Amino acid sequence: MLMPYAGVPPSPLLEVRGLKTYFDTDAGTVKAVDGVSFHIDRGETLAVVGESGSGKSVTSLSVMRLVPHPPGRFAAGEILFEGQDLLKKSPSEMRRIRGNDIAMIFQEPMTSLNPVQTVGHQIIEVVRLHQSVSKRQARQRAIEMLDLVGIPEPGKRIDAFPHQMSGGMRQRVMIAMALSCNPKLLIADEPTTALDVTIQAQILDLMRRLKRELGMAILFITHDLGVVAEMADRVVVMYGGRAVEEGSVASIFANPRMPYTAGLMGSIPRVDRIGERRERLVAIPGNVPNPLHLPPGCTFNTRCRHVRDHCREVVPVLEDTGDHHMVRCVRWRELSLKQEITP
Amino acid sequence: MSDLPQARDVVSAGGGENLVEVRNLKKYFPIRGGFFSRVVDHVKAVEDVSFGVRKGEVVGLVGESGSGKTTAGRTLLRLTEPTSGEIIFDGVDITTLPPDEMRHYRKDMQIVFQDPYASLNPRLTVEDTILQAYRIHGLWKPAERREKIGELLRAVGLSSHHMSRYPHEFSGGQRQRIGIARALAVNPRFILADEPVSALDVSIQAQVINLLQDLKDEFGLTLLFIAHDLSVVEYISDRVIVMYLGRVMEIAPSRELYLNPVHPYTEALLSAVPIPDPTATYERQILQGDIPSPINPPSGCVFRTRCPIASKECAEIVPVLEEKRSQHFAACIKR
Repeated sequence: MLMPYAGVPPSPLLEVRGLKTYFDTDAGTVKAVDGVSFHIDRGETLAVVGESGSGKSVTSLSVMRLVPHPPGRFAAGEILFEGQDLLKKSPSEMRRIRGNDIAMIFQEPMTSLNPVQTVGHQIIEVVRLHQSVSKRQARQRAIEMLDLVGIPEPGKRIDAFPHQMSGGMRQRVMIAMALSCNPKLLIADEPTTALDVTIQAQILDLMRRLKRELGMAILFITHDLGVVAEMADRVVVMYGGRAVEEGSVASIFANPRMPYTAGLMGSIPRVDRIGERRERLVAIPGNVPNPLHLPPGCTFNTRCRHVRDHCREVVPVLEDTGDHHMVRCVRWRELSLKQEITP
Repeated sequence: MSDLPQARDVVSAGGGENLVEVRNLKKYFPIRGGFFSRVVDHVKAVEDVSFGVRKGEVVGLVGESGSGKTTAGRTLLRLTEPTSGEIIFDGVDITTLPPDEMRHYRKDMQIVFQDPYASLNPRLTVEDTILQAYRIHGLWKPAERREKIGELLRAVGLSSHHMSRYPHEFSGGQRQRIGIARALAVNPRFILADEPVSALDVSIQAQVINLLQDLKDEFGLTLLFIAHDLSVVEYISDRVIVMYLGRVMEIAPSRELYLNPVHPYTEALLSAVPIPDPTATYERQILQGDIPSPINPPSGCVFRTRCPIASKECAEIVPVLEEKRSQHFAACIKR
């Protein structure tokens, strides 16, 4: 984290305000992101956690303005990057920002690389698109980047095709490409989900090192609370298109206040607590609601073990519980969720 | 623990009577190329694997991609034929049984697949899917079948009104429940669960794991649970087998394996799991490099190219599984 200048409140690098990304389908409007607000400071890692259908990926695609239109549309909100609203940018202005100021890596490195071009060619293309350098300089830059992300013999591997590399190496190439123009913000959408656990450890380690060395901010989209605990400074938990809890990573894990967050924590078997484990996992009952027919009121009310009639009528607001820990639950004051999940 | 005398052999580790055993199982897949598509090489997917699963036991089989865990499981069910080795089910060598005799055992050995989307026929209702299993194996009188299907669906946490629905009307977790119901329909004695929760959301995973545990008690199932997720395996298994590049690295009772891993690979694998606790302080051991190609695995110990404690001898000696502690086997000459 960067130290704020004394007296001057630092303006966030990215600020998303009341974002609503809707998809118009034949069956009706899917409110994939329904009024989400958060910010990321310079050099900070914010994790957005959620399961399928939570809206976490659409949130990240919205920031990149990569939501296909139609059927997607921005129904409301602002995405302020260094104070400028990305939703008001023209397509050509957006192209300059993408790759240059904001870069993105995806879950599946095989489908996001072009299979018929060498990895070097693809990195060089990015560099030359955004920087006025010669082909030779761009190639040099590509080799440096491959070296930076820990690819052995980068001078040779630059001429390899994606299929000649393993999944972990391909994700390193994606990271090299994303970071080749020194972005201020890196959006990582489940970057290690498709990788084996020992390779995931390598990639997470690499991302931590690069963040330290290059100082970019990271918007980390994941479903894995273990990865969150390891990577993030702050966390936003999403469910049913809304942010339901937000806080520092320490505060969220020590004291989850939203029943959904606590439920997620209870759902994961823990290898670090083998001696003290409970007999059954605390599963969240039911299924993720259909995004076309989200329940009225709190979207979690169909699965919540603490639900009251009130929860089915009123959409709770995101309340600050102190310490910048926000929660969207009307009952947060009376619930002690921590003890539900500690064995 | 059983009170039978302790066996020295890996296959009889765990004590008690094995329902399923594999001995020196090998599965090579030919690679064809060149003129006339000659066999130019082999992918050595499973190389000399031996283990047993005793009655009523849940054994976890873990490994990363390319470890051979899925191939080992499928070969054990004879969904692919082994290159060599023996498969023994309930004391009978089924390795070379002809199809008509094998059919009898198929009923006893069922499988739950990873992808509940791909493993159900989209054109069949839940009822038809399960009826098919009943018809093939001649189970229940036709008049009783509907009722039995209802019971089965309730056992896996669905209800009888789901019977007339098609797979696309269900969520991933519900589909996996249908997959489990289909496997249970023929009253199997052994179920191979091949990554049954990997495709599911975290909150749904927990439901399915709890369900499998309940069903295990209720139906007295013997389960081989294949997974790459170490924490899930630990939770459900009595014993755990760790595979790497086609070979077994370590076999131990679940808790023992996680608390006192012997093999350096198991150690690294455990240390790579991200812990959902930001206050956790631990030394992370990060393995360098990638899993080598199973076409050309390293000589000696297959893990030596990534092993932090490998020495010269490791390139020469193929380590065998030795009982390093009680019931705890590992294939490493350095430990």
